[in-house]
Amino acid sequence: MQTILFVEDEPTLQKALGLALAQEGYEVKTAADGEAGLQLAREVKPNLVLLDLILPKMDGFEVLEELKKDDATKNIPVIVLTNLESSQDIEKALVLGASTYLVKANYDLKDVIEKVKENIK
Amino acid sequence: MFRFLSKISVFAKIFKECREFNLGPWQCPTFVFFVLGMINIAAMIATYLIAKYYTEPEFVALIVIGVATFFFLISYSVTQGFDQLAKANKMKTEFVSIASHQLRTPLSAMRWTINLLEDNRVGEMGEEQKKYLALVKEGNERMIKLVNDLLDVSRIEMGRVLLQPGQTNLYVLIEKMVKDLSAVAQAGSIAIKLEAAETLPNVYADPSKISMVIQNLIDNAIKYSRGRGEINIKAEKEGKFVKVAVRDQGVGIPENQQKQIFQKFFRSDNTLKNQTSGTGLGLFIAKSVVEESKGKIWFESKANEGTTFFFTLPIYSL
Repeated sequence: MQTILFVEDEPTLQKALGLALAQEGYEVKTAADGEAGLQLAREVKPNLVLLDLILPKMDGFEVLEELKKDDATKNIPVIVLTNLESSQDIEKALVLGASTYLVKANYDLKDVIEKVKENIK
Repeated sequence: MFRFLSKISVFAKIFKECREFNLGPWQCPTFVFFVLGMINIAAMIATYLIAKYYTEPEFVALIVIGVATFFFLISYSVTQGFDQLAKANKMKTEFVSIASHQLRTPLSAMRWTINLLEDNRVGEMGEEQKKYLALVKEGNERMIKLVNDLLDVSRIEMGRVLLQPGQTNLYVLIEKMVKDLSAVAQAGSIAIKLEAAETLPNVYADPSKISMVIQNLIDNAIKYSRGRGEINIKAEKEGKFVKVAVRDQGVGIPENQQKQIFQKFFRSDNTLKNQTSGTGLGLFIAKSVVEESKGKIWFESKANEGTTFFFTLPIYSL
């Protein structure tokens, strides 16, 4: 069974997407801040990371950078899932190595699940 | 001071921006430049006259030093004024960026919760309940769209349209949009006809932004057709451009409102009469996207006969 790490501080979003992914047959691990997310990623080595950008303790960009620097985690695909949308943010995320950048408010759960299936390794 | 000078219409135009930003006269670069200009002229005349009538070089030197110091002080004032304008601009961008993110957070939470319910992921929902849930979803989608439109509008006003242009196949885009909107058109009892060659040359434009423009034009055509006639979309090469025309045979735009059609938040009276929903931002954004893509957008309309919107985009060439 494939594992997905979902780093998101908003509880409703965590619950909703977590539930949907579990029903699709994935094992879902969640973290509510950047530090916990990074630690969990290193421990569990998920098949995909869904990463919010605005997070307490360590923001998504830092987490992304650390994940891609570390040999153990650099090959895990990361989908940035955020409500920020400036061109600098998008560029920064893609340059740091994110596989794709999704604005949460513009996607239904089933669209996010489709992107997950496209990108998971 | 501003009010006095603004009575003279030329000045009113020059100072308009500063008044909009609530800047005082001495913080307003245009005003200060004006004063500077006047002083410059006066100083040159005075220096000439003084040099003519007083031959002591010390006296002239003193005058020149005095004027130079005065200029220095004024320049300092000007840079402060610019600084204020820049700060005001930056605050505006940051505000929109923060506000849109803060609004999107609860909106996405709502959207995904609605998804859970409508996808039957948290139990079966009855048909009656699904109907009302659909209404909630519609409201949620409209709010999300409004936030996205406001973000686009603010970027346009900052002169920072997010365009990623490339070689774009217009035929494919239009065809897809017609297909996507066919259900909506059917609901409005309207047929959409596309007249374009598959060999339509590719254009240089941002495909996702142009899709938005096409969607907006077809959406409007459907909304204002009110079940009358059909919608006809024509796309053809015209010189170095591809011209697209979206024609409907609906209620049309009253002549006295045609000048305002592309304005932000403008919705013509026909919308009230016909109770259509909309943000009034679609055409403003469409115009900005098309013009930023080096094309033109315009329309022809007659009340009760219909409207045709035209836009052009440059053909892609290496």
